[in-house]
Amino acid sequence: MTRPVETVIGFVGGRPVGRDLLDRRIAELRDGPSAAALPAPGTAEDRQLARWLTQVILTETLCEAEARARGLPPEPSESLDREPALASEAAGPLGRVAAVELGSVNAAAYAGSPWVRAMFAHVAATAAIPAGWVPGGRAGPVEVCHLVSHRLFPSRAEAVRARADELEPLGEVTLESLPSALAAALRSNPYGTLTGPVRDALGWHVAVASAQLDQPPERTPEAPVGAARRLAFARWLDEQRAAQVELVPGLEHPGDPRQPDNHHKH
Amino acid sequence: MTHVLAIDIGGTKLAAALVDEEGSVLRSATRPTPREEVMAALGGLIEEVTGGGPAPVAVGIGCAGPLDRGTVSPVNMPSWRGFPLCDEVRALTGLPTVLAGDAQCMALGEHWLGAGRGSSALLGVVVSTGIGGGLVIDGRPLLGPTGNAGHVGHMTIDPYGERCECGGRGCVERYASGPNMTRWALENGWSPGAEQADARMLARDAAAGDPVAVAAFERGAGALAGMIASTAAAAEVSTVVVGGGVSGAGAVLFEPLERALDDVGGLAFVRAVRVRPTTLGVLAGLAGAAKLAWDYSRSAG
Repeated sequence: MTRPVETVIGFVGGRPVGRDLLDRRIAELRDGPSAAALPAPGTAEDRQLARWLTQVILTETLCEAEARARGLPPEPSESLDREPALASEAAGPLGRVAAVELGSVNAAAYAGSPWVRAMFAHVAATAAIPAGWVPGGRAGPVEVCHLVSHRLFPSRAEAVRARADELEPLGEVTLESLPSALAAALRSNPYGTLTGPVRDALGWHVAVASAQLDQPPERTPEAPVGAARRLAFARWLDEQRAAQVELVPGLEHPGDPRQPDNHHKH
Repeated sequence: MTHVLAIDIGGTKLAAALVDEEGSVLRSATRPTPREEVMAALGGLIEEVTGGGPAPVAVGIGCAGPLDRGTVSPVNMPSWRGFPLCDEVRALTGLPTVLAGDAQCMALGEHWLGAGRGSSALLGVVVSTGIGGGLVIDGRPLLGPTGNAGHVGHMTIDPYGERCECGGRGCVERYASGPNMTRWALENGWSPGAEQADARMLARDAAAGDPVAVAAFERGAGALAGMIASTAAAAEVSTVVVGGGVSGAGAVLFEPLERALDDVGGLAFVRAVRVRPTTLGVLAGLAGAAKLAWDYSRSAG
């Protein structure tokens, strides 16, 4: 039997989800300890809250259906304390970093529904670590320290005659801390090469980066397992919602730029 | 050709140079900062740079703060508390002498010869163990009545934020300095694989995609963006030059900083602010001290 649209907050796998779930969730919030922090009824922010809660409820409904279809038992809330992927990265069961990685809707659904936690455990069990997360797997600046000797000369003629033993030791420095023109020249030469003269507004630089010191130790290949599991779950949810969830006018995603209450700019 | 004597006093190194009106360095020298008898070491350094060379016409000094009307109390130089540095150097050299904070000199140096050239309103920011800053408005440094203007590291970007060591709350430094980003990352599960974690290791792991390290830089960049947008709104700053050890992290700092600025900036003149890395590096402070001396010499003479 089809419900009137105004009593439905969305559809999951073609099945309507009743407005009563949303009304009850809002009532619980307004009667709860966070009541003072909630937007005033009837405002745009209030409508955004309803939209956000709708996404949470639809995510919970989706996960319940998926978990039941797979014969998975609900994960009791006690597992929050045991769940290393979520408990290890901040105080409290659902750490700040974990919540940011999951996204606010997913994090709220995870915290509030044993079916969402069941699906998390199921999906995350086979999560692979993205190649780009492995140290060395992605190009990036790596600062290392060098023993640099350097001297500034007022003229090119004096600079070209400079010898390494005439330079002043700067101690252990990163190339990034040197004048940029000099740093670029040092980077292009092998260690131990007398580099310069390099001219900038201060004069003619001559320098030598004679050794590499105190390189940050290679990171132990410790996999960011928790983050990878959360990423896998968030992507799975995105795919499932795209395939199964249908939203209704007035309860679109709060970040949907087409709905009138979204003033968030990027 | 006339010269000024530029002096840069840091916690680990003293530097001095004879600098002409164009910014070209004739002679320069450095030596380690001793724990005691800093003034004796500084006297020797000045003698080394000026001895046998052309007599300078003025002295400009950049020194770690806080400052108070010519005196200094650098946090990492415990033997100097309320030390009358300006008077001491004036007595030593017999020359007109002027003093400013090290980050103020960095800003002035970058404005004169570096990444901030041509800017009518510049903010220089040093992101390192702490966070310092300096403003150069219409070509002149804004030093403030006691010499402490530009202390942007202690601007509050979150009135409900963490208590800062300075006694304030929600200071930028609490979120974006090297040690504070490292501390936050460790508290949130970052495993650097070494006993002594530091911001360089954090930058390395952020570049490799470690999510907590990335989040630490995102958080720090967000705080810096709040400070930059606020300063831009207050002083119509058009250019920001970022230096200091943490700025060497490169893209892992500057990319989230650009994104955060795009998010927090509203008014057109605030959104117009441009952020650039330093081009003078560790020599920016010395260049700024020289410019300080030149400006002082001209105004006095």
